[in-house]
Amino acid sequence: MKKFYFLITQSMRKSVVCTAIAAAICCLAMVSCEKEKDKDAQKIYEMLQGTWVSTHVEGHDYLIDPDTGQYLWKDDFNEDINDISNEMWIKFRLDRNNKITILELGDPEDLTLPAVLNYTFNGRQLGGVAFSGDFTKYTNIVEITDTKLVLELDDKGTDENGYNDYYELSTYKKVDE
Amino acid sequence: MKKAILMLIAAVIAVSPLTAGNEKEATGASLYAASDDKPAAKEKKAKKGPWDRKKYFSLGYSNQTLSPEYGNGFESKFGVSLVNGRNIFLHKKPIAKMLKFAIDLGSDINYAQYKDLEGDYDLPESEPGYEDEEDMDFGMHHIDIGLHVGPSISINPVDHLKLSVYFRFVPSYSMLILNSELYQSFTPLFTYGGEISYKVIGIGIEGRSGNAKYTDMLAQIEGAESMKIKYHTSALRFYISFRF
Repeated sequence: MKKFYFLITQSMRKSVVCTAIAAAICCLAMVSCEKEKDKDAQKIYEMLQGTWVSTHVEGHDYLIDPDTGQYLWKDDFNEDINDISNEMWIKFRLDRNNKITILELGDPEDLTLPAVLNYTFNGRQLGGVAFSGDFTKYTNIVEITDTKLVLELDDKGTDENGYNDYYELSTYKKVDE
Repeated sequence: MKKAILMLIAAVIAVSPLTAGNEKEATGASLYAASDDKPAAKEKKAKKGPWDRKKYFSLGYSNQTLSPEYGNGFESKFGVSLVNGRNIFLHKKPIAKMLKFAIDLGSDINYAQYKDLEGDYDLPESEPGYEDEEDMDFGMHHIDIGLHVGPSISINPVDHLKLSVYFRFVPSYSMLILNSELYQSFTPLFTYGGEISYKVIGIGIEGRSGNAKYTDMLAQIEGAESMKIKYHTSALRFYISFRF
């Protein structure tokens, strides 16, 4: 009986040790993945720094009646942005104090320029007032290189007017300023 | 019947002086005892030993930094802390007549106001920003409200002098106000430090740190989608404590 008990505990000990080693390897793998993600995110953050100007925008702006499904407003756009006369023109600067300085706008509305606002970055998204829609408070970074930046805003939600579906894919180039 | 009633009345009359006498004796005895206890109680109150002051209350000045995961952090221009708790000693008699281990349990409230950073673009002198009066800048504020629990080691080398070191886990509710944006989070903070005290009063120094992922409160209220942002809090606190 004693021998049998000893054998059981031995095998239990082995399984516990094997499980512990497997768990340790998994943890190490996850940590190294996280470190790799952090390195990529840091690289993206460094590439974001500088002054950007818009070059192209495409997407759609729909307003749908939630009861009937009819389009109350439908606008598809796909255009190059060449200068400040285009209302979609924007020139902004991002810095390491996590401030965005909006330098030029095609349609400034009631904003006094240049305007300094906060922005946030979590590795793959930009947040803050400048990167928010009505229902989504962040913009996705689709592509970034040393000279090119592509941002995606997918803003969907319902208000008193109806169901809003706004999608914008905007392209920027870096300028030396 | 009459005889029985008369006998009952007589018995009551006979017993009542005895009980009155007893009561008098009893009150007299208790009065005597009370008067006898008073000097002893006073003596006991006056003789509070170095291990008897288990409750503490401290008021501190905090020098704090709030660092985002990417980018430069914010330095505090003012910070204050309120810590309240008690030591739960793990053993009655001190080891080597001077050392005791305890578990500290209590609350921890910390507030810090940060200096805002500026954009690095060379702006003109005029104030930029929104003309819309509804957009207000509330400044940069950070408040943590939590409980603390952790081990401590206290040494009483001489008289009422006590030296303590401790390490505490402080799970806290944290709220950030960054200009016009509000964030909240559950923050697991850690504090570690030391204190020197003599009888009621003491002074101490402690470090404080923790990481948390904050969510946009206004977006949550509006039902909008938002991203989580990671911030690291670190601080150095100097405090004055009162023990009782």
